[in-house]
Amino acid sequence: MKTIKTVWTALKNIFRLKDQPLWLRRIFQLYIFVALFAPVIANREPLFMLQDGSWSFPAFQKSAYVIIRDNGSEFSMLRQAVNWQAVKSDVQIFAPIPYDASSSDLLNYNYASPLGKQWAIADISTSELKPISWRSRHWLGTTKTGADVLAGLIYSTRLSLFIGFFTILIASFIGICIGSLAGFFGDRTIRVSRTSLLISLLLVVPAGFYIFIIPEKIIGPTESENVPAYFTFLKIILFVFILLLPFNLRLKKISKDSTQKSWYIPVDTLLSRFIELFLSVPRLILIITLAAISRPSVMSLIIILGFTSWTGIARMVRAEFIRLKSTGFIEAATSLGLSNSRKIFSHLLPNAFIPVRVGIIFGIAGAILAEAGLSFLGIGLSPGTVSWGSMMAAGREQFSAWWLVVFPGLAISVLLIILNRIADQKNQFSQEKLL
Amino acid sequence: MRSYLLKRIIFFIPTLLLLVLLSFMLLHLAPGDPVDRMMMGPDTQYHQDAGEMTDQRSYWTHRLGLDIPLFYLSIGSLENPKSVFDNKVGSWKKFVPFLHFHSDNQFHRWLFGDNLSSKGILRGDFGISYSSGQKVSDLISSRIGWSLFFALFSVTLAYLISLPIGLYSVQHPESLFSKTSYTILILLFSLPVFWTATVLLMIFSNPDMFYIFPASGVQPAGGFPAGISWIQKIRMTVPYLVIPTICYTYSSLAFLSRIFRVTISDVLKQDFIKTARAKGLPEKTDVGKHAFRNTLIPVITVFSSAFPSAVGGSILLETIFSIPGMGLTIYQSIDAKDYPVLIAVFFLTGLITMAGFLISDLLYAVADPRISFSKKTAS
Repeated sequence: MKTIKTVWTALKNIFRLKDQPLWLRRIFQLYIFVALFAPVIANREPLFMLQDGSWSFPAFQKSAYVIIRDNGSEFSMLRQAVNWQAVKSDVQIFAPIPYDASSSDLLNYNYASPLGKQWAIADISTSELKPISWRSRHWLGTTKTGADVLAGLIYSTRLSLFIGFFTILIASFIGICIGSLAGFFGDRTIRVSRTSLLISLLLVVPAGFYIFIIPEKIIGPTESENVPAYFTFLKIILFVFILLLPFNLRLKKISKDSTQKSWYIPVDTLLSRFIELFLSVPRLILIITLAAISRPSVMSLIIILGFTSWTGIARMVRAEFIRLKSTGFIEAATSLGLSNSRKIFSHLLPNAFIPVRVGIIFGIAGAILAEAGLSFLGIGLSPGTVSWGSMMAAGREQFSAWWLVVFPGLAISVLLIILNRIADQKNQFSQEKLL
Repeated sequence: MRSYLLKRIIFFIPTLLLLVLLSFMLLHLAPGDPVDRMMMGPDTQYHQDAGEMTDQRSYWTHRLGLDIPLFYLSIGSLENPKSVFDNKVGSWKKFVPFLHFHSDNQFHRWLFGDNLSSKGILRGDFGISYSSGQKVSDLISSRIGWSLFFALFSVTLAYLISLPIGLYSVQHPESLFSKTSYTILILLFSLPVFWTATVLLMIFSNPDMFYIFPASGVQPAGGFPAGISWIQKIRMTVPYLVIPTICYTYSSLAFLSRIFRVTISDVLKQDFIKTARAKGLPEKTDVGKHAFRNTLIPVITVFSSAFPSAVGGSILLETIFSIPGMGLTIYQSIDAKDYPVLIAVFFLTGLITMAGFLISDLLYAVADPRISFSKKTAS
């Protein structure tokens, strides 16, 4: 329980805002709020609707067709085709911003300015136009297709924070694992017997053959495309598991004398080389290369960003582990006979969180910036996705539509300023003891 | 020192090998068939020796060496090394694993070249660009100039601007100038560079606002008029370079001046500065001679990262300003799915970054004699 508590305390401290000025805390909370509640803040569909005594929540239904009542008759309509403003009902409660990120307003398309006139239909039968009411006004203008910029901003905040959060989840997991392995075990701790290593090397050929080649041969190349992607992942895990098997078997009976001979595995050197390899490739080029050869989607972007941004965290954790290992309390833990896992999880990791915290917050900022840059270039996310970067790219096509460039840019800059400031406050913080 | 250098170079080799392997893997993980892409390109690589389309296909498959095994070793069945994707199931031999060795394979050819067209990446040949049919090495050498110019020029400029700011604000920490400059630099540090670039373009090269600087390119679109002197050429080029230079400079400016402030104030607190002051040396010598030398270390760090970023180019900025450098090349080759170019850039940046790490480590010792490597290697 102690372990969980200390790790949890450290995790809570990652986003500690207590030392920050009030305005910064409020703005940061606003970003989080907007990201969490985006579908409630901006939605084309009414949040609540009362029709002939029966009520519904169209915005929270996921079905492709919705049932609309009109003058006592019921008919189902394609969700995208419904003009909710025109549906007759007793009560309709719309979100504060009655637009989606990508739904187009055909009356205010082609860059309606936030300061200029915007139009709405006054009477459906004569299709007469009137100035739009303040309720459904596009406060930050529209894009070329008539999509609302404010709604786009809200949904791209959600997207950016989502990508930033999950990227850093992957990155810090990999970074902490690799950094603590390298820092804790060093070069002269892990010994493996030569026989185990030899058997493991010999297993590569049959294991690779039966796991990767035979299944594809049996089911054929056309069907193998339909196999879910996580099967590859499972195959890799199985492969690694089989290769690790010889190290757990008791091999003394098989060959008596060769088990006496064992080798040190230079964990630290190997992992440091690996980190250096990753560092030696400029991150943006690696990300762009990977994003260019993979299918554009949010998930693959998160995976690419996560797998390319763990190096900083890994180096910090490694350095901190090496420093902490020589301090008194780890020596004390060793002399008390604590197990390795207890030393790592309840003593080293919580103490190493302080420097990692900076890496994590800079990592989130970096991921958000990278995502914006990629979508500005039109790489990484699928073409229709609305994000800060893609909105700015749309604004580049039409310089007179300044609202397309200014507002997303402000949104991302303010977020980055806040994250940089949170990461900067490490000095008074590092004095405290977490344990 | 020499043993340290030797050790670093020995460690350089496995990392380089890993980089080569990674680049090769990425080249082959890339989706799509390179032959298809070469045939569908804007100017199809049509070869007279081969006649029909299928012959063209097999001609290019053979010419690019795509019909031979990938790597020296391959895992396959006992029966036939080439029928890895063969669908027929019959003989028991198909279910027996076997490790095959291929002396002639794509990786070998990629490294050392075949005897026909390519010389291999070890001799600087990165193959043929799919989209233009040009040699990748020619493409890179024709494009790298502008990237190199902007990277080095901006770092130099950033150094020349941020050093006086850093020195002044350390000497007068309470002054209005140092406080405002600090805030502004922190703000600048957080602004995404592609946004700033777009906003600057929107203001200064927009016919509706101020049309001062041209929006794209690095020289007049139709080329220079004939028979003008180089001074006039430079005068015509400068307006194209103003906004890009600002954008290239300001991010490293913020970074450098932040570091200068920290290093200089650290140095000024140290004993040797106190001694110098106690001796009655003028403030100019204290700061100019002793503190200045210590600012070289962050500069070396930034300069060592300037070279790889020159090869990689600033993809965003070069795309925004249409600067014909490496970044734009990368962007265009992503658009055209031109993987040999991408991988060549990927490999080169890795190589130069690793060399940059090594050189900057050595330069640290030159700039600051207190740093010694012999101790490090002994421990």
